[in-house]
Amino acid sequence: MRRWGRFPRLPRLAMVAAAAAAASLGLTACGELSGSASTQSHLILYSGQHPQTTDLLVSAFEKKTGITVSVRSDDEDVLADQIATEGSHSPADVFYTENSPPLEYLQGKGLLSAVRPGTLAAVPARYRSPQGDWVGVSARVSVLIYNPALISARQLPTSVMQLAEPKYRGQLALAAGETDFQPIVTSVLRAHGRAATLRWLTAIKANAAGHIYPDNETIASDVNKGSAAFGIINQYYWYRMRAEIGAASMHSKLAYFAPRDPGYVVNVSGAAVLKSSRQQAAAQKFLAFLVSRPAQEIIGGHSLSYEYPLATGVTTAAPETPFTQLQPNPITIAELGDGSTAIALLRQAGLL
Amino acid sequence: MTQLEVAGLDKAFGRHQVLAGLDLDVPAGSLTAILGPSGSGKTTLLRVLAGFERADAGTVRIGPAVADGPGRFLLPERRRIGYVPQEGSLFPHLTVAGNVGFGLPRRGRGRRSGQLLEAVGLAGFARHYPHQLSGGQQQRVALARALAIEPGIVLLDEPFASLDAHLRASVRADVQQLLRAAGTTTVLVTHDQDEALSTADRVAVLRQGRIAQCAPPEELYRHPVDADLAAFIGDANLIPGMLNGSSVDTALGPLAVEPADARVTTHVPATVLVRPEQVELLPATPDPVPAGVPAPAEGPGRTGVPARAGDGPGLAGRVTGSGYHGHDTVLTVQPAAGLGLPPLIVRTQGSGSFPAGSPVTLRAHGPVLAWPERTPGTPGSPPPDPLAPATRDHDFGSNRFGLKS
Amino acid sequence: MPPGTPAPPAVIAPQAATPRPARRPGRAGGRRTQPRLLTAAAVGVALVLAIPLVFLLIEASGSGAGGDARLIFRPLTADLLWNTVRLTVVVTALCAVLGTAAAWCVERTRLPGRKVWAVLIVVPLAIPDFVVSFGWASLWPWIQGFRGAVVVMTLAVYPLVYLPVAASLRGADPGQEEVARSLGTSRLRTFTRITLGQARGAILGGCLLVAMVLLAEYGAFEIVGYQTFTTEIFTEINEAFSLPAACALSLVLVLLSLAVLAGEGWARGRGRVSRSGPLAQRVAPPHELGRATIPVLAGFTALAGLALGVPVGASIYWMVAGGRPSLAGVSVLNAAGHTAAYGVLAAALATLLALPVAMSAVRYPGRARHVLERSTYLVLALPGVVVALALSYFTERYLGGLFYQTAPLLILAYAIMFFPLALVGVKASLARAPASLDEVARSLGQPRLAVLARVTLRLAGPGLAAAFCLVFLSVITELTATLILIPTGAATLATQFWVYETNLSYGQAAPFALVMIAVAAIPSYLLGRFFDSSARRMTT
Repeated sequence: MRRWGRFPRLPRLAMVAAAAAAASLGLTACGELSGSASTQSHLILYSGQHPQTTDLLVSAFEKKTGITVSVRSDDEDVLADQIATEGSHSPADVFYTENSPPLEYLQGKGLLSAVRPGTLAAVPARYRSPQGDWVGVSARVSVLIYNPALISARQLPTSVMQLAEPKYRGQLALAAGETDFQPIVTSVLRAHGRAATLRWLTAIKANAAGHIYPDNETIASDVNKGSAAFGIINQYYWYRMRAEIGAASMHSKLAYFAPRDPGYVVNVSGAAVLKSSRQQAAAQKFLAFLVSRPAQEIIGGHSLSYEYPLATGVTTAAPETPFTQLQPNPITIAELGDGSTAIALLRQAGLL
Repeated sequence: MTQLEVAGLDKAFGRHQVLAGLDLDVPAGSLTAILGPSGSGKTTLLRVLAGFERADAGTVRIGPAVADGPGRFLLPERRRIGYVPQEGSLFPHLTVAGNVGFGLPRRGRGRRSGQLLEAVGLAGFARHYPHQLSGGQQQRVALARALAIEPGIVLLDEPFASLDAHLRASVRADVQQLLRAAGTTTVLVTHDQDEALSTADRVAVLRQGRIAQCAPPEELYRHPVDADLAAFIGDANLIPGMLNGSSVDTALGPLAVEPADARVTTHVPATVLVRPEQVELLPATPDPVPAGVPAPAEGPGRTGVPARAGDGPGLAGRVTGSGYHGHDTVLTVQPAAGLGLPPLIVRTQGSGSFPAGSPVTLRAHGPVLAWPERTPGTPGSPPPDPLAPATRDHDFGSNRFGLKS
Repeated sequence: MPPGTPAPPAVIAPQAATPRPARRPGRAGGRRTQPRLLTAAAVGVALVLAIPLVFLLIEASGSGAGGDARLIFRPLTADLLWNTVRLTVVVTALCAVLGTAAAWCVERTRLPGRKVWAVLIVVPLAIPDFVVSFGWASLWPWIQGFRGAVVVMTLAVYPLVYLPVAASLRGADPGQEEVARSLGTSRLRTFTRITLGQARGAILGGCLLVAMVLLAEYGAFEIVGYQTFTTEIFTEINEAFSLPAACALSLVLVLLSLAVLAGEGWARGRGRVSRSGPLAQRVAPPHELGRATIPVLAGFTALAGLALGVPVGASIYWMVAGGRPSLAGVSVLNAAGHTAAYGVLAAALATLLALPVAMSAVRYPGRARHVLERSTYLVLALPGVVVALALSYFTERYLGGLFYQTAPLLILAYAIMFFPLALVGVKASLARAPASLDEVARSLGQPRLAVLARVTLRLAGPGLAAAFCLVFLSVITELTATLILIPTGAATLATQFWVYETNLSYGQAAPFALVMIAVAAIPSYLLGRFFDSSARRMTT
């Protein structure tokens, strides 16, 4: 027999209790109602870098300077778009990325502040903004990841141009939309011109049919699982995967392109201070910290980021090929630009 | 005891003018029925009176106060009007007692709703829910709810429409008694003539957005203002005739006319109203007498109605249909061809006398009503309705056969 | 006499004691004028919902019509169009069949354990699509491409059809079926023509929601590698910094959703599936399943296993098997608290906003109001990222950045994105609170606000609660808009899951997935109980 109208008694009480709990949670969330604002001792960081790395760097910075940092993590391109849309009211103070094109993009829009000369000087000139608006913090290099059970080292291409060859059909894994791939396209474009690059891309699309992935992590894990034979990633993904799933589960290996091959590209991860920031001094301090020895050692050693620290005089402790022994293509940051031409070509080829 | 006055009410929805210059006076304490076909605007009128719609023009006065007028509008919750829509509209989430006491302040609510439930004869049902009640019981609860707030006026929208026929009469009687006992001014809207004529003190017929006639039921039945109204109220035989002072010549012979229109002395074509109970059926004479020829006076027919001096001779016809109602029989008789008469409706006692197909003689007994036929547009004739169907058989809720649809 | 059929020609018979068929509201005598306040509120809400569309137009026009044309008419666009359309058609059809069949079995038969199934069927709505595909893809890597997308999405969104159809079947008039049987129609034909006909509006409404959700889906397709318009929009935003291009593509999405809306309206037709007679009427007696009981039970078990078991199982597997944590964690409790708070507030706001639009559409039918109401569905097809960027743009432009990245704006974004889900629920609930009852209450001396509280909301209450739950479930799983608009430093279960998952920390990601499912189970349970309790009330 019904009592209180619609709901039987018990779920009604549950609803009331749930509502009360939610309301009180709501009140605590109200603490953020006014939004976070940067103050003299507080910075807001937009980070496209992997949270593992960023978190360690941020806590070290906070401990050292007492300046607290709030981190907002997302894809670096979304963040770049967001910053551009936010314009002069952007809450961001510092922008930290995985690759250089987003930084170049914002620099082209005039949204970055000049980096202090002392900070710039800590890093070799080729690994920072040509205009001095951002500084490189770490680097990665593009490599081949392959599954020896499906393809032998001898069968691997030595040049990235060979990826277009028909013999690799069905074996190649590709993340055409990955920001790490665009610099390779730009590099090929620089080496061989537009028409050849377009032909190359079209052939790659055919070879990678059925194995087009959203990002490098998926390429790495799928090659490891044996779904595809080989693909192009940045070297550190392999090491991170190994740290996550254990050496016993690794069924893949890394291989390099021929020295100075267009596919052998170094990607620079950098940071910049936004012109709209109201904490210019604190933000510059953060940048200076990023290229300082303690931070660089975190990157090289303890962070498990497996990236190459860029500051002069710091070497990586990770078990990978030392940075100095790499022989990458000599393409410059300026030549890599913001990647728009590469994107146009990818679109034309139907990969984007 | 509150009286209701409506003057010049206009209401349109988009381009459709529902009420046009409607005037209505409801005396305090009376039970007025508003009768009209479906779609004539009855519900709209009620809603304007209750305050759910605002009139486009005109005034509504409830008691001394103006409820709806130029620059004035009283909200529904302030009007103290009891409103009982079709099908009761009880609140399904409240008990019967909760429904009845809804409009009352908290204090004394229980006691008062108990009283009212007793008054409507549902004393033990306080804790029931609406869906556990029958239709008639739900209507009574709705009425109790409306009366609980001691309204000045009660508005009922087709309150008995969803009830079984045999229940209808008894519920109607109960409701009528209750309202009279409370002395509340009541406006009842219906398309059922039976209901209107038998329940109300006054009946107002709504036609084309205005009140065509507002009068006590008997007055309305006996003296409708025009032929259309005559056809609408009860069954009517409308036949052509030639008006001649105080009598009219028809196919059924000359008939006395009331009221005598002394001004008309010359022959004027007219429409004549002959009610079914005024037509007498006799077995067919072996020599059917054509119209206009006086026949020898006959002895009393099977129906036992004596022939009267001055009544017309018989008209030949054939029975085409009959419906037995217990208290009487309604027969349709097709008059002889060539006279341009529609089938006539006749009421008689007993049924076996005139089976379908049997030839009969018709005779009429006056006095009858006659309206001189004037061309449309001249004063006195019913206003032409461009939307009206071409025939006279309007869907007024009853058809020629006396059955309600 | 079946309601709605004309009276037979005058028969020479005594007056039959048949009840008069009830008049339908809205016909002669039942017309109403909409109060101005309601109109203003409904229009206001529609304008708020139009914000993302306005943003799209502004941005797309920024690159010029020629630029847009070049972006839209690329060779890839044809592929995307084909992919999107065929996926939408196939999944919508599968969901319609699955949802209707499940609804019929639960509502109209003596299926053992009906109450349990009613809840289990709804819970998959609570699991984020990207968790579902994460589960499938990590356990069985061959779930890829078109096939993978079909499997994943069908199992994820069929409850959107199940819920309205179940409600409709419960409240349907059994008289029509009985009449059909008495006229000699076979059981199968009765089912297809009468039962399904009565539920047609609900089925189409559910399909509409499914189609819209498919158009906007992104995360699941990314994981299975299926390219659609929306994944392309994300690519434009993510890779190409090309907001104008993304917005141009979004406009194509809007056109597609207009086509879906038009299709649903046409399929619904002009027939009314209303129920004649007073509100509280009897319910259809349940069918016996007999020998079909075992197969049906097996089917339900399989459904629950696939839709629930796989994602939950995969999450548990990864939680146990995952590697050592490499990320400093935001505590699960913290993220859960934020998620619940945002969910509750956004659901309340969406339901509140839906009230005037629903009341306007249900109680005062009219062409303009109909168009207004339909226009609010378009936003469901837009990816969350577009809505978020739209709000960011407008706060930047017109409010000087005020409210940007604050909880209220995020909550508003959620309310906009999931408004159509609330609208569907509120519309259904208003059917229980007809305007005539409101008027009676007013005539009894209650001012408008009291009427709202004592009558309308009390009657519509359970339906409103259902709308609330539906929005809450969607908010829990929302990711892309949250990433843009969430206050810096705050986190929800979805954002944390994403952070871990994209960084290969499956072990750390899995608990968040499980907590998401647990948090969402409460409203799912309530949804199931609401539907069940109102059924019981009717048969008392």
